[in-house]
Amino acid sequence: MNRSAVRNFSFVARKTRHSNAGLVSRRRVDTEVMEILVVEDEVRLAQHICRTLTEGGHEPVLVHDGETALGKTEVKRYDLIVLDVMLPGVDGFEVLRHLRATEIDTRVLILTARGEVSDRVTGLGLGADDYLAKPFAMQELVARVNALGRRFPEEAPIKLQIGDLVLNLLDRKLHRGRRRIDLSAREFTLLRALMREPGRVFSRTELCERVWEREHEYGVKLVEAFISRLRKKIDSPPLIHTVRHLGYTIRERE
Amino acid sequence: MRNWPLRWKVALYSALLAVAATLAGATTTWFIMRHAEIAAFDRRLTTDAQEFFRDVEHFEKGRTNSGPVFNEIFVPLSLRKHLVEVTDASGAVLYLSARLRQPFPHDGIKQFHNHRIEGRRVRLAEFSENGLTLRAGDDLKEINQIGRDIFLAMLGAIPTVLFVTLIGSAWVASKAIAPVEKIRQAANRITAQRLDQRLPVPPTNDEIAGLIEMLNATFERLQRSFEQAARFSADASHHLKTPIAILRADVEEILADINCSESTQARAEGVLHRIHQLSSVVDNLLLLSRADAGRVELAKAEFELGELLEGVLDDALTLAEPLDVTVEANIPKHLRLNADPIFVGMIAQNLVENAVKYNIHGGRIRVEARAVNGNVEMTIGNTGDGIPRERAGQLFDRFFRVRGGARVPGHGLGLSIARELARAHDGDVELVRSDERWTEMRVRLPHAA
Repeated sequence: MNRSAVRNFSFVARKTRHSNAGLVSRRRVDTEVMEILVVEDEVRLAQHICRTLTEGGHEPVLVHDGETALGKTEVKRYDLIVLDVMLPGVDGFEVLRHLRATEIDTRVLILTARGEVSDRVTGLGLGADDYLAKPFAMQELVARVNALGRRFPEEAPIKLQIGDLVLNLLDRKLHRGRRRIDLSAREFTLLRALMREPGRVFSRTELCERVWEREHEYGVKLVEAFISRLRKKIDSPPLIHTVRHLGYTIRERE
Repeated sequence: MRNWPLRWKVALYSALLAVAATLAGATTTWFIMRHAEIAAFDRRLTTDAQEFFRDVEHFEKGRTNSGPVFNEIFVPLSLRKHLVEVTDASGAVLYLSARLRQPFPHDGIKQFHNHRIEGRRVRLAEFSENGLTLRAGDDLKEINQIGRDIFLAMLGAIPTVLFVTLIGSAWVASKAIAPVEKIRQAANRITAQRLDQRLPVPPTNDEIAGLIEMLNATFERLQRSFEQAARFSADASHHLKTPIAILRADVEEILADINCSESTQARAEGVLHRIHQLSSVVDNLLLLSRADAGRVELAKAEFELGELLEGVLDDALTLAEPLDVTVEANIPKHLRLNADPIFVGMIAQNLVENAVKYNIHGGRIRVEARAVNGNVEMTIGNTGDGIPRERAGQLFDRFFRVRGGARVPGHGLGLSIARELARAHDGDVELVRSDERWTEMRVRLPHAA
């Protein structure tokens, strides 16, 4: 029974991707179309970012260096700026400093190299709104961009709910209907990541990054082990679905 | 004495030198005084003798030519306090001074010379005129009285000299060393985090100023190469991360492309995972290069170890399940650390991972923690074959693996990273025990204040 459901879902997922030409869930009721200035000197990466943002329903404008970026922001107000730190000439921090000095308060998402605590601290100190460490999953970028795009920052929810599955983030209790389910530390983190963006497909690699701060040698193996444990605990009808070659998603029905 | 402070060494040497100089001065003075006193004595005695003979002659002139007539009155007063003997031509003693109890032994030497009489050293001379012979002299001791007194006085001053030079040169030495002490304190402040500090150059143009300028130049070079290394690691990080990010985006695109065959997508999924591993190896190498430069950035916070270990232990349980390995944990509540939680998580993760990796079927893992002298000690033990004794020394080397090959995954960076991270917290990771039954590692980290 599960098998057919998953297969069926998988088919629909493919269909959806076909029509949307992307992995990104279109259930973006809380976000709107944004004009985004992308400042990234690496052409290939910049193209990927722009394509993903376009697929996500936004309108990216691409520049490859800091001076051009500053020129653009002078004549036009963008909804968001995706800013790489390492840029030739005027670097990302310099751009950010200049923006804030000229009282341009456009939200800024900086792209840093992973593990650079000082970059992160410097960036946030200069007034960046969020940061993303390279290499990042493109879906993660879209999720961050959408989060920043919300007019009013979302109040952190206390409960996440999918169908009759309710996860309380405060006391870490999980309920399926009236049945209470105990979760271990990793099961909780994993389920929370999935339930925060229902319907979105997470690759195993991305889930690894979400649950473990640093790479884990057995990461993929562990993701699979924890997913199967979660499935057993949640029981039927199944909510966590395998999307072949892509990963996992949680949703009530396809 | 080797461990004495420099100023006390200088003080002691100076004091000894001063004593030696005083001794040498006293001895020299004694010699010179002795020489001068003897010469003066000789002159005085000669004059007195001449006066005596003049008196005798004058008196005789007014008398008959019957021979020398001696009278005690002729002996000058200044001569009487010495040793004096007067004899006539036949050798009969006419006069002995009060201090001379018996006549001089006659040695026939005319001029002044030293003679030993009854164990005393006596300086004497013989004068003859008109059949009368005058022998006069005195104890050398009596002659050299002033020289000896000065000598003894100088010896008596030695304790004072010793004391004054000791204190004085200690003071001088500490004045001289003061700039050196300042250099030491300033150099102490210059660490990897504060390499831009420089020693203050004094306005003088002496050796100390030269030394400070030389040291500052060295620090300058050190700072430059340090910054180069740090910038290199930061640059390398960025330059490696961007291509990896592109690679990842490419692969994600293949995964999303429904026109690709399933087998292509399956391979793409594998590649995505490899990219993830590659990026973590890059992270680890950068972390190690930063540790080498002493520039691990710690985002310290206070947290409870038990809460942090929850996830790590959860992983261990999950991984251990198919191997039938039991996991025991004994982490007291409220054991708080003041450390970088991500790094502590990595340390624990690396060690627990090894405990699973090198375990045996049906084996055991035990994780314990306790507070010891302001530190938190965590021990992670596991059953297994253990580390061969001859290879235990290499255990924390980079890329070292006890057993390689496909059976055991990993890069051999886990333990060296765990140790570097612990050391960045002023802690450490050590191998406590390893034999064919049980292997145990101990982590030491700072306790929260």
